[in-house]
Amino acid sequence: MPALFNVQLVTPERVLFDGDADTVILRTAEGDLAFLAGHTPLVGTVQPGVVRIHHLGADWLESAEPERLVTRVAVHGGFVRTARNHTVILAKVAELASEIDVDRARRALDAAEAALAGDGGAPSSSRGAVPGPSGAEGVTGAGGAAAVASEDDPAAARLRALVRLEAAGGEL
Amino acid sequence: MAGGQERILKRRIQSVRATMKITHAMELIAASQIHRAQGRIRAARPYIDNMTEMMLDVARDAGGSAGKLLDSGQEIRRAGVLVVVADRGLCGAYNYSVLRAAERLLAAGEARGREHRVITVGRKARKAQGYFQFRHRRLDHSFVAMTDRPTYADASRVAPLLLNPFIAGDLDGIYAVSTRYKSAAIQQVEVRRVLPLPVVQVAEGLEVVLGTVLSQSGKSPASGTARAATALAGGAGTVVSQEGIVSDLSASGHSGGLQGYTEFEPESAALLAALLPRYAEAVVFGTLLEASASEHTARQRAMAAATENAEEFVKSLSRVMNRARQDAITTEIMEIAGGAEALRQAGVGARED
Repeated sequence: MPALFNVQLVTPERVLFDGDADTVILRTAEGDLAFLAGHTPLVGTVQPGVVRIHHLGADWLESAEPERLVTRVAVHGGFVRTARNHTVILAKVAELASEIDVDRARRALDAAEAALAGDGGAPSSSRGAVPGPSGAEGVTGAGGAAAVASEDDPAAARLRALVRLEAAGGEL
Repeated sequence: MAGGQERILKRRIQSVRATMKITHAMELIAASQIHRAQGRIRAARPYIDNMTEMMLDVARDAGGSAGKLLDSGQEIRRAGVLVVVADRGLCGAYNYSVLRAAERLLAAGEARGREHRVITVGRKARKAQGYFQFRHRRLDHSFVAMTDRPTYADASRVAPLLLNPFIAGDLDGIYAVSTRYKSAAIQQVEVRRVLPLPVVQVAEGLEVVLGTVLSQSGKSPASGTARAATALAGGAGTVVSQEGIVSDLSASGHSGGLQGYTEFEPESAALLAALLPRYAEAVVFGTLLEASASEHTARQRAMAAATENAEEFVKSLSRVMNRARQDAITTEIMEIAGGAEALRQAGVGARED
């Protein structure tokens, strides 16, 4: 059995993953990084991408050959900190692969690419006007991820959609 | 005539009953909101705690380049102040205690020649109808419609208004005045210094103790203000603390600080620049969430008291009304009896004639 260490993947809204894992693979500013048990203390950024957490299935106590699972999480940028066999990934926005709506992500991707193509070469000045001042959020608050996506520029929205699709395993 | 008094009282009882229905409904709504707000605090705490730890790690390592982030003992000349109150009233002393604590912080700061940039959340602090208008305070920015159910997006709108001037060097300190949600039973108004981080370079654990001692002995630069405010606030049971972040650290469960050699990727100065906005957002988010839970708790308590008072009021009014009715009936009987007696005597007199 591989050595395990504690992994938490946390957003401001909830804890997405909290448990023992044997490997965590994520993308830092300087390249992909795999964490195993006993990793040297590290603090770093996590680039938008898929975080893969390799862990054992729920049957790990009973079964001699426990199921090996990979939990994939779409992380839209964040930070990682590991020390003393305890790894924490903090992300402002992240979703479990199992919870991603592939159709919606694909639609968002199309919309973002259309917006990018529509902008052409001209740097748009209207973009900055999107995030409204206080009081307006009651209207936009309908769908969490959708609202976040619509808040900034299409390039970021495109990246988010791509990360979601990759995490969900949908072909591009 | 009889019954006039009774009618008036009956109408008053009805009106009190109607008010009671409203206060009772508000109490129930607030109670359900508390539950939700507590859940949100619980859900956000791991993120905020870990963010705080990470921030301390990086800031410590960045050392010199962290510069103004760490408490260097310099006097704060230009302070950003975040004040969080409610949009609505009917929540007891909730709004007023926060505003009073903020006013004290501002007054104490001004007395030492400090400039302030004030950002408020909640309609009750706002220019047009709020407390600060009355006090002729200049507000640099005020947000409304946030405290009922604060979202992370709200926090990321508020945080840059304080953090960006801080990074640019227009501010050299950031305070937050809000109500902390300690537990279902305890909520306290706190004045916290968010930045610079009140950290001393010593071993974990000891740090917490040192932080507290510093604030008591008044050696840290801003704690003069804190002490003045504490002295003023003492009577009202308000707690003013400078060491919020340090106590947050002690409250968080995991692993403590990093030991020995730690890798930073990218190097800590660049990491710090990326981390700082998220850290500020997390702190503001936590502050908003706790303020929201405290607000709902305060409202529930106030409305429960109002309902109880209304019940008592109805009881005592009913008593008065019953007596008035009794009086009216007695008077009527007396009148009838008197009239009958008069008639009888008149009849007797007529027969005798």
